[in-house]
Amino acid sequence: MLQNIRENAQGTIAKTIIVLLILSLSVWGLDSIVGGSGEASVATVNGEEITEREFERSVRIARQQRLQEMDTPDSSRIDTDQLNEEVLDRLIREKLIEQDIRERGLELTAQDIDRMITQAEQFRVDGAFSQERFTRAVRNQGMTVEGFREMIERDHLTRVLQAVIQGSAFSTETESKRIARLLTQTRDFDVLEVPLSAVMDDVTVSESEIESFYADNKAMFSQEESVDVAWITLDQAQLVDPDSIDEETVRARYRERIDEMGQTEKRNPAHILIADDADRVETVSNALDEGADFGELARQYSDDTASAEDGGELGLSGRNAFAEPFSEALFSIEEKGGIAGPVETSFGTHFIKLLDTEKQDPPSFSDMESELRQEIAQEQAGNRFVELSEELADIAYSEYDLKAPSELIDAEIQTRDGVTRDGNRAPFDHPQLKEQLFSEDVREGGFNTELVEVSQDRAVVARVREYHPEKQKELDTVREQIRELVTERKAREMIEQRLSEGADSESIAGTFGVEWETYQDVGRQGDLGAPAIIRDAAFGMPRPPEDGFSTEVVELPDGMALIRLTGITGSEDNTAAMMAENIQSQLGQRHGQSAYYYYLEQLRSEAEISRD
Amino acid sequence: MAEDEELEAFKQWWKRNGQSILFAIVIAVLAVAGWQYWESREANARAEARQGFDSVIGTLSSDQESEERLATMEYSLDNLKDKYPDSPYAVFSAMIAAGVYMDEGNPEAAAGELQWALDQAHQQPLPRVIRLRLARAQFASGNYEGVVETLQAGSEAGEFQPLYRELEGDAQHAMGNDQAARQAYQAAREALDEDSNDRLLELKLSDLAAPEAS
Repeated sequence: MLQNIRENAQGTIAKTIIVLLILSLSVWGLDSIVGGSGEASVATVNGEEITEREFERSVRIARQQRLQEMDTPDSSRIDTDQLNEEVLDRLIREKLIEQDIRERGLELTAQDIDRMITQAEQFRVDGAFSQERFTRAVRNQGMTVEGFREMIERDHLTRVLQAVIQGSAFSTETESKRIARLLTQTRDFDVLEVPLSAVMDDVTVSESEIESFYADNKAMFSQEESVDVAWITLDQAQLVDPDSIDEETVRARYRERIDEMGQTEKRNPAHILIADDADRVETVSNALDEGADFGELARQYSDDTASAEDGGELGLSGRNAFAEPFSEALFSIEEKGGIAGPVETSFGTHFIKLLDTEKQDPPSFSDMESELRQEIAQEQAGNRFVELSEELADIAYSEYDLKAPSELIDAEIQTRDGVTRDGNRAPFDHPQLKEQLFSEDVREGGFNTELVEVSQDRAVVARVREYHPEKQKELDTVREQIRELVTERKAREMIEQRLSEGADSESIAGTFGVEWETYQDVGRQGDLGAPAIIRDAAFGMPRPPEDGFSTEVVELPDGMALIRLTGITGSEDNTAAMMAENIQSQLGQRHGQSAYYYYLEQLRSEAEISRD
Repeated sequence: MAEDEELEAFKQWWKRNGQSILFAIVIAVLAVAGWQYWESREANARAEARQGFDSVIGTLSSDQESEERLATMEYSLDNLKDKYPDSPYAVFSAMIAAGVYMDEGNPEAAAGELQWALDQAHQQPLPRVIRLRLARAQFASGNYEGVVETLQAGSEAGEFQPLYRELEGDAQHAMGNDQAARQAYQAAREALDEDSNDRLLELKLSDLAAPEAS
């Protein structure tokens, strides 16, 4: 190749190419010539790819966050499709902002990024930046240092952009006052409630109406697919019967417990401390041998001046209250009045006298027996549960029924019919178990499900006895149900039509044989004066003309109602003014949030986005 | 022998072309150096513009008296607008300043900043955000005609349609044109996503009379 180039080197074009190659290599490095990542991508935003690696990393992080938010982490409760969708949406949004930031020429200098990294709390050890911790943290996230720096820059600039757009928004006093007045206004209205029964006699439903309703609403009358199941439960709580534990084991546990309790005995010592004076130690030692009064000696000689005044008494204390050699000596004194010493501690030399002991009688074996049995049973069951789980998982996999598995764990086979894909009682509310039940292998292949841990101490193996695919209910079985539905619908339509036609008429109440109900000064929120449906409807109605009313027909659970809105009253000015101040800052935030929201929407709508 | 010949051939070739190759290299090196110099100057300018922005932001949290604070902010802002009018940071700073002027009860000054920002910002969607705010500042100073004019000028509202039409409705309502207000609010409602329901918009609509029968 070089030979060729040299031969053709006379050509100006070749010369130029060589020069450019050399220059581009030296200025931009090899990447500029080789280029292209060749990685798989999940989406393209304005020609830029979101790589599969990036996507998977983000999904992994999002999944961990979900798990951390759960009380009992269980990855089977995460909807993977939904999670993927959310993550991809977010990555696309981030990419859009990233591009917007770049096109606006927003950037940080290398020094800015250095500063942010060295000041970040998470990279500090003993208050100083640690290069090692930084590198490790970056690796743990599966990133390169360069990629991490880019991420920091991007995140920071995104925050700046968002802060500017959102934070510089404002609202006006005029708007907030108006909102406050609207929120506090009251309305007057008259309501005519007409029960469905008022027109029932006039409603007839023909067979053909029933048939066409059935045909138009097939989905309403489909029978959900379901399975009849059999299952066994491995229940940790039932694995070990507390009464079956042999007495020797329980007694051994009792003795251990009593020994531990012995440690809690308290003793009241007096001591004489001599910090650093061999002669004085000698003197005290001799005096004690001669039977001198311990308290007197303490007052006279002890360097622990606080206790010395009380004859060296320290008060009732447990074993842990003193330095090791001291408590060793104290607790080995056999009876009250006994003296030990000299004993060395870091404070100096001690002579110790036992003044008093306080010890509670330990509980008897029969007092503790049932508690201890429970405790041992639980421990044994925990281990047994793990062992049995493994065995059961194996045998459930290799067998084609539940007989052998149920014998293994000595559990009864339970059955339930009509388990559907959603809305079941435990254990079939567990997503993973349901998913397995409706998998083809289990549903139609006659396999057992895997062993599924439905909670910390319960695991289930299930199988399908019979599978009922989704099917259409026969018209005959739903005819009466449809007749009721159609009757109600026609009754509503009939009332609505008559109410609408006679909305302005004086005599409308009479035609239905019902009375007008009048509501005055009803507030918009939480006013119990009128039923919520009617109140909400009345507050959604347009302002009535002077000396007139506006009308609307609304649906009630058991009838229809005609509302005549007759008046709107603004509240006292100062009530609204007090509210307005609060509202104004909320409105400002709201304007800011929607500005940023639509900013993103605008970027999105103008971008070319393809999902692969 | 062959080597001698090759060397000779190269010498001949170099005699003929050497000068022009050297010349090409010198030109290329100068071009790269020039480009890098220009690039670093630009980068410096961008960094300085950002510092200007930081000092505008800084005045928001300073504990100076409000008058003094305002003066500091104005000084930084004017400096920035003067030196780097094309920088996005100058536009950002003007937007922030507008917010501050609104807090100070000076919507005219806010509108002035926003008008300047609108003239400087070219790349969507930022101008749409600014235009909406300019209209809102005009609304605050009671210039309702101006609000309608601002919102209808320029390119179409794009995705901001619900916000533009709602504010237009507010202005029409303030001028007493309830029917025009109702139309604007309804246009806002129609532009919303299907599943979203803007409670405040409904609140405003429900206070207006029904459309006159046509």
